[in-house]
Amino acid sequence: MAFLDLSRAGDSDDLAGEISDLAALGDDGGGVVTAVRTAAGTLKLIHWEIDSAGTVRRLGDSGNQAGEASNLAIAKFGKHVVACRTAAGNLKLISWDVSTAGSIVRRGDSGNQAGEASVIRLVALRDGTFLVACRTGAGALKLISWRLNDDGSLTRLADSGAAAGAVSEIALVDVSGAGGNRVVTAVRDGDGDLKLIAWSAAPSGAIARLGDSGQQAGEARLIRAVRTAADQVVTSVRDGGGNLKLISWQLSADGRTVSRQADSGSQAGAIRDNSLLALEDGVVSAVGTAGGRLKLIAWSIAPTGTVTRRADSGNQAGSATLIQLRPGSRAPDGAGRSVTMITPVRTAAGKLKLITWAPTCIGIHVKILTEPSVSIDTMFTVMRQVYATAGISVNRLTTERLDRPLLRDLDVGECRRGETTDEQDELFGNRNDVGANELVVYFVRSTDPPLNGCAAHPAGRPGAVVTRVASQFTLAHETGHVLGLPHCDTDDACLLDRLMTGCGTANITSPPPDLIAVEVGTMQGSSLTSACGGS
Amino acid sequence: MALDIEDVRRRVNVDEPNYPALAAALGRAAVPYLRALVEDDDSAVASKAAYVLSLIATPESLEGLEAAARSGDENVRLAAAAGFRNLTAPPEDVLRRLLADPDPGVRKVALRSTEAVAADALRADVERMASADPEEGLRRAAQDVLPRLG
Repeated sequence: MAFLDLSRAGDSDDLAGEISDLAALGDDGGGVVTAVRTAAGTLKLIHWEIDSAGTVRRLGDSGNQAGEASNLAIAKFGKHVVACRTAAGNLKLISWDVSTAGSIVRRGDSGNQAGEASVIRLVALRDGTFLVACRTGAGALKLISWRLNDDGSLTRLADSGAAAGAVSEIALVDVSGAGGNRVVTAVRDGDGDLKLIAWSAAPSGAIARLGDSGQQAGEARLIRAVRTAADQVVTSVRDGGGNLKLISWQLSADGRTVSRQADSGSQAGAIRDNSLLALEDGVVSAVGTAGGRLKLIAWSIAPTGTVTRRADSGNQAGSATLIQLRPGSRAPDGAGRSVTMITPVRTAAGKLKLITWAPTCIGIHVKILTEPSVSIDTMFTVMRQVYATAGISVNRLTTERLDRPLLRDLDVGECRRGETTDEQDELFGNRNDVGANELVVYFVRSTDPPLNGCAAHPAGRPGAVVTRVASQFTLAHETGHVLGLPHCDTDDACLLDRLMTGCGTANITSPPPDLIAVEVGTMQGSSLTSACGGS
Repeated sequence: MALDIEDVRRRVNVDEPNYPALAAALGRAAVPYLRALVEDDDSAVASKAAYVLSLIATPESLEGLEAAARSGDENVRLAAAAGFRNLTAPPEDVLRRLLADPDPGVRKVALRSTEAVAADALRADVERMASADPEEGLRRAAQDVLPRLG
C-alpha cells in the first residue's frame, strides 16, 4: 500500500542553500524540479535526480536567468512553466527547458499581460492549457488561462472576470474528465471559511464558474486540495482550532454541485504547515506539527468519503516549513528499493532539503531452541498480515537452530524493558553476524516465570523470546514491544481487537488485530524499521 | 461479579502476566478454578494457573502446585518448579523430586528455587546434582549454589 510507505530513505543533505519560497514538481524519471526564491530574492530552478535507494543528487540549476520573484508555482506540459509574482507585484509566467542531464534554460515568458497578483497557483490541463488561480490586487479570486507557444512565450487566453469574490488563500486542483477541462479552487473566502468552487475551461481558454460548496465548511487556513483515484476531491486545512482536518467532497457530473461527504474529525492535532498528495490507495498529508517537525500522515478515503487516519511517519524528520509533497517513481531496483514520495522542505536553517520516503521493512532472524506449538511459519504469516496494515513488510532473514539445552527454559526475571538476567544476556549473545538494526527472535520452550514471550533484551541486541505455548499473534506482539509499543488496554477495559492488548493475544476477537495510527507512527519511527532493500 | 472458570482461564491466558497483580486480583476465590486449570489440556493455561497458585497461600493452592509438579507436561512442571520459590516453606519432598526430574530444564528451575528458599534440607540432593547430573552446566550451577544454601 503506497500511502503507507513512510520510511525515510535519504535526503539531499547540504546540496542547496537558503530559500524563502518553494514550489516543486516531479519529473518523468522520478526526479524533482524545485522552483525557489533564493536568499537574494531571485527565482532559481534546480533539477534533482533521485535514485531507487532514495539518494538525492543535484543535477543542475537555472543560475541567474531570472530576477526577483515570489509566490511561486510550477507545472509542466512539454516545458516547465513557473508562475510567480514579480518585483513589481505582477503575475508572470516563465517557461523553461529542463534536460535529463540537468541543464535548465529559460525559453520565454508572459511579458506584461497580467496585473497585480499574489497567492498564485498553477496547473497544466490535459490539452496543454496552463491555468493560473490567483488573488488579484483587489483581493478577489481570478482564474486566467494561458497558451504556451512553441517559442516558449505565453499568451493570455481568457479569465474568470468578476465571477468570484474575495479570497485570502487558494488551492487549485485539476478534475478534468469526460465532462471536459475542469478545475476546483478551494479557497479561504472573505469570511475566512473554506469554499470549493468548480470551474470549466473551454478549449478556447474561456473560464466559467459552474458551482460551489456554499456554506458547508467552516474556518480554514493552509488550504490544500487533491483529486483521489475515485474522483473525489479531498481538502486538507488547518481548522479554526488550529488542527489538521481533511474533508472529502463529491462533484456532480455537471460540476454544478459540490457536496461535502465526510471529514477526519479529531483524528489529527495542531499543525503549522500542510501539504497533500493523492496516491492510488489513499492520501498523504505532510505537515509541520505543533512542534514544527515534518510528519507524514496516511489517510484512507472510502467511496462514501469516510476519512480514516491509518499511519504516520513518527519522528523521522526534523523541523520544516514550506512543505511540499510529491510522488516518487516507485520503480524498484534489483535490491527491492524504491521511492514512493519526496518532501522538498525548508529546514530550520532556512535551506532547501529534499527528503525521500520509501516502503518500510523489518528484518527478523529466527533462532530455534524449541519448536513452538503454533508453527513459526504460521506466526510469520499472521504477523505479515497485521504489519501490512501498518505499511511494514516483515522479512524473515535467517533461521538457525541453537543447541543450548539449559537456555531452553529461560530465566527472564520480571521481563522489564532494559532489565535482563544473566541467562537473557547469554542467549541474546547468540546473534551470529546479525545486523545491528535487525531483530533476533529466540524460540524457547518456556520462561521462568511462565510467559508466552518476553521482549526485554540487552542494549544493542534487539530481539525477543517466544515460548512453546505462544499464540499465533505472540511473535507480532512481542516484536511490537521491541519496536516501542506498550500494552494498549485501559484501566477499565481489555481491547481485544488490538495486537498490543495485554489481556492475551490468545483472547483476541475478530482477527487480525488492529494497530492504530499512533502505534504505527512509533513502529515507522523505530530505528529497527527502515526503507526496504537497505543494507 | 462472581468468578467462573472461563473468567479465570481468560485472565490467566495472557502473553505476559503480571503475576503478583493477577494473583491479588483473583484472590482465594479463584483457587478452585486455578486448581482445575492446572489439569487443562492447554499448556499455556495450565502452566500459568500453576504459577498463580504459588502466589495465593491456601492449602488447596499448595495441593494444586503439587499436582502441577506431577504433571506429564514439562511446561507445567517447569511452572511448578518456579512457583515453589514463592512459598515460605516449600514441601521438601516435592522439590526433591523436581531436582531429580528427568527433564534438565525442570531440574535447572528447581535448583534455582532451592537456592531462593535456601533449603538446606536439600543440600544432599544439590550435592548429588553437583557431582552426578548428566548435564555439565547443571553440575556447575549446583556447585555454585551449594555455598549459598542454609
